[in-house]
Amino acid sequence: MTGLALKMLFGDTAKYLMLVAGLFLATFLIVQQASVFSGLMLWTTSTLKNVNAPIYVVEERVEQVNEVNPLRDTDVARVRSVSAVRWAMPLYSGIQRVRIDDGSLKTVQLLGIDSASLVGAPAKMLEGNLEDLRLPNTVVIDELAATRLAKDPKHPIKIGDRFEINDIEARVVGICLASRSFTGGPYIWTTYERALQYTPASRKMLSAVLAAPVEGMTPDAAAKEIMRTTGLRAYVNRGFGRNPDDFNTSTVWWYVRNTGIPISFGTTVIIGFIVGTAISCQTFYAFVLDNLKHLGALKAMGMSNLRLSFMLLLQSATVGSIGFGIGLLFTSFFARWAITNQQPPFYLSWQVPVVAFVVIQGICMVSALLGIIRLSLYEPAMVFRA
Amino acid sequence: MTETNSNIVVDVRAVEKHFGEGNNRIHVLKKVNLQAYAGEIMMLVGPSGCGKTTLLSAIAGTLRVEAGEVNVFGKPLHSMPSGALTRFRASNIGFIFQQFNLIPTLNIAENVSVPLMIQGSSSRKALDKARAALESVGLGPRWREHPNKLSGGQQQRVAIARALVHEPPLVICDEPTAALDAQNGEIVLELFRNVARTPNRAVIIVTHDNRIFSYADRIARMDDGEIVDVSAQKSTPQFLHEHAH
Amino acid sequence: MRILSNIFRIGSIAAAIWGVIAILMVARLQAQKQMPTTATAPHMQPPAKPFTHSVSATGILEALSENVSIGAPEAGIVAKVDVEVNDKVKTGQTLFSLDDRNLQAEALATKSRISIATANVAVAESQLAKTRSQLTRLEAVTDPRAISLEDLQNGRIDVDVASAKLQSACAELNAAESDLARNQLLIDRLTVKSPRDGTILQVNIRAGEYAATSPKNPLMIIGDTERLQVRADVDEQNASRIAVGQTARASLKGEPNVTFPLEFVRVEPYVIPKMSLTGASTERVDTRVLQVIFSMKKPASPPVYVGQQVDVFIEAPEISQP
Repeated sequence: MTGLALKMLFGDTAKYLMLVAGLFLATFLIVQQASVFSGLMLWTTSTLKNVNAPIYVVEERVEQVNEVNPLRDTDVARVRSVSAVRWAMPLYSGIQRVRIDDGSLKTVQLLGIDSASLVGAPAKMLEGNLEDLRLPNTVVIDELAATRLAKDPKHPIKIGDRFEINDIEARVVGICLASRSFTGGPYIWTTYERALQYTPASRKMLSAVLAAPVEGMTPDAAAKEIMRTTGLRAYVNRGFGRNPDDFNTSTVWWYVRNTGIPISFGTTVIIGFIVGTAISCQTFYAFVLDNLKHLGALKAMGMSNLRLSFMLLLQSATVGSIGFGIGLLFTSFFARWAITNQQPPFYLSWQVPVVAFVVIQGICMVSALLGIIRLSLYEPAMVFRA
Repeated sequence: MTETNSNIVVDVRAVEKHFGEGNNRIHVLKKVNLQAYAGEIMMLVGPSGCGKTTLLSAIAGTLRVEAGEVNVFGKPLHSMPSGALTRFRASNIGFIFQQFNLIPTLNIAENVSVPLMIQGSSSRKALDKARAALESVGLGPRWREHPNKLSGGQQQRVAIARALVHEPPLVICDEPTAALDAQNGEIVLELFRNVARTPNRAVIIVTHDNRIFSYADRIARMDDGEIVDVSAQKSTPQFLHEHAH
Repeated sequence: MRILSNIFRIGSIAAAIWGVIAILMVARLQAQKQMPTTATAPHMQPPAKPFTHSVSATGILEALSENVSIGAPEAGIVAKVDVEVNDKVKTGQTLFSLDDRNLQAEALATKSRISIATANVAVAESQLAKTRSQLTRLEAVTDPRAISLEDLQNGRIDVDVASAKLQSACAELNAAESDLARNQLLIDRLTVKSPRDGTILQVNIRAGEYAATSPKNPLMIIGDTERLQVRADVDEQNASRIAVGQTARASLKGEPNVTFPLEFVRVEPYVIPKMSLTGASTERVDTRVLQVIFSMKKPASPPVYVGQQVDVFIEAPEISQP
């Protein structure tokens, strides 16, 4: 029976391709757009990935990591004075301008970390030695900066090259691996003290305090303790999830609430859904209409409505799965290109294909349902009225 | 007719059917009575719109009648729940349609196997049986072909194989020669009579093709929703003789 | 036609399967490319705090009893610097001297004035002796006719005058001599001496330089480096947790694994605006701090220096919040 159903489906090549194409398009739009959206949202939290600390302590009203509301210098000591804190280190984070060899200005994300402990240093150095950051006027740049700040992109910056941050010399001592920032600027690490020298003076300069909980205490509990005793806002840094005290979560939701990004991507996803639904339902309905005479004959010959419905559902689920698979194939082409290129943003979470699969199968089921309704209206006796 | 009532396969009593609503309401079947016996080929003839197809549908169990009884093999189709009716159709009735209604995307063996599949047999067994059935209609070697590669006569032979493959005791034919030319029609019907007629099987054919009347054992004439006449066919060779062979 | 449809059928199914595999490979590629998040351990694990409950502060190392900034008595050219950085000095030891040639020149003039005055005194003495002998001779004449009473009286007055002249010459000599002494004092003043025992921590002048009297730039800093003291800035919000006699430990900035025990000395009673100690190019005042003074013995190793920044942990119970 399943064999018959599938043969009927594949036999009508034109409609089969149409169905697959519609569902492929829907899948591709949904998965690709959702992934680009996730990637973009992930970019908003890239500072949290690049500056890896279990707890971020920021000013009370700060909701997302790219918003800097500076603290006072002594807040490091205040956080350090909380018993739940094992260590606390200052962090400077800000967007600064770099003048490169040909005189043009590029914006960068400047990070200043504690020079003694180097807490918040990049996780993986590609070239150079992190310790050299303690030498005078030195910085560690990320891969993007190596090309972005070079005069000629074909000859990226090497160790030992120099440029100017706000007219103060910076010497590159290392190149590291880093996540892309939302603002598009590359990441540049230096020590906290030097970051303050690079930055035009203002009253308060401390962007955040990085902290870790004492042994045997979870970051969440320590963060609560810091908030209770200092009145500052302490976030844990574990990754996007449900925890509202996680800086990743808070940052992503801030962007969702305060920017048009979700609307724009959501629109495309919805268009994909609508296009997929329209094409699929219409074609499948046409497919059922075309085969109505034969299906009616089957009905007359004693095939139950249940089995006919099963056949139609099987057919639609099959085209759904194939369209979905082809959609994934094209998404994977896009993904491969995007991931190796690091541009545009792309992050595939396992939920996206799963949800897309459910949506596509849902579309197919609706299509099949239309066919089933049409077929159930078809009296088997009508088969005799040719 | 020498048959006793115990040989009655189809027993239609005082069947009523209307179509349409209000002014357009048409009385299609007016207290129709009809019996068909095991082993005979009965033709239902009459002008267009006389209700013969409706009557056929009622006998086939694809149409509910408004009043009267339709008993097939002693089962009351008029009161059977629809699920049971569907199962009844699947196992007891073979269908031959005017437009053959072969599924174009399946090859002819697969087409023939459909009734067996509906009954739930495995596709392998069904295909074996289907090929045997095709053999009996002379299309054995061509079982891989698709219906649209065949002529009309060949397609109708496939349809015959399909109608008989599950060995139903009742075969319903709706204008089996309407889509065929005269010569092909006769060939097909000749073949049909040879393979379809067994002592336990009744065949009911709706037609208005008078060239094939000769293949019937009995002819029931209908007009305006009523059976006007049921006559045995003189020219018909005795089916007893036929079936002894 | 049938072949074509088979191609489409098989092709589409193959593409779909390939798609599922490809997306799984993308997930793997993505996982590879992702930042190694597990490496949450910082590059160099900052040490745990020495106390369970503590107030943290940044501090600066000072010599005990504060560092003494040596100033010059007046602006002038430095003539000679007698000590070097790290020299141990005693109270009264010469540190440096300013150019005193103008005073020396004055001294020369004063000295000649003394010679003149001395000569004048001798002249006055001789005059007195002379008038005195003349009077003696007149008084020796007993004949009233031989000398008039008037002559005798004149003689007596002459003696008085000469005596007064001698006194005046002596006073002049005295004045010249005290001028010389004053001059010497002024000269001595230009030689700066150590006000206390200690070690020279910093020397900001060289011979020949102009030493200003501005209080901002000490010419030298003297302190006691055997025992150091730590001035810890406690954020005013933590001030209430500080009590007299709390124990504390300090670690050098950049060398957090070595800690030194501190002894409580005192709490500065006046809360001051915090001066930035964090090395920023400009001084910024952003909060007020309570300064707590601790003393510590200079450790044998690692070497510590006055003026170094330290992280201080003061053992203090947490205030239970409402």
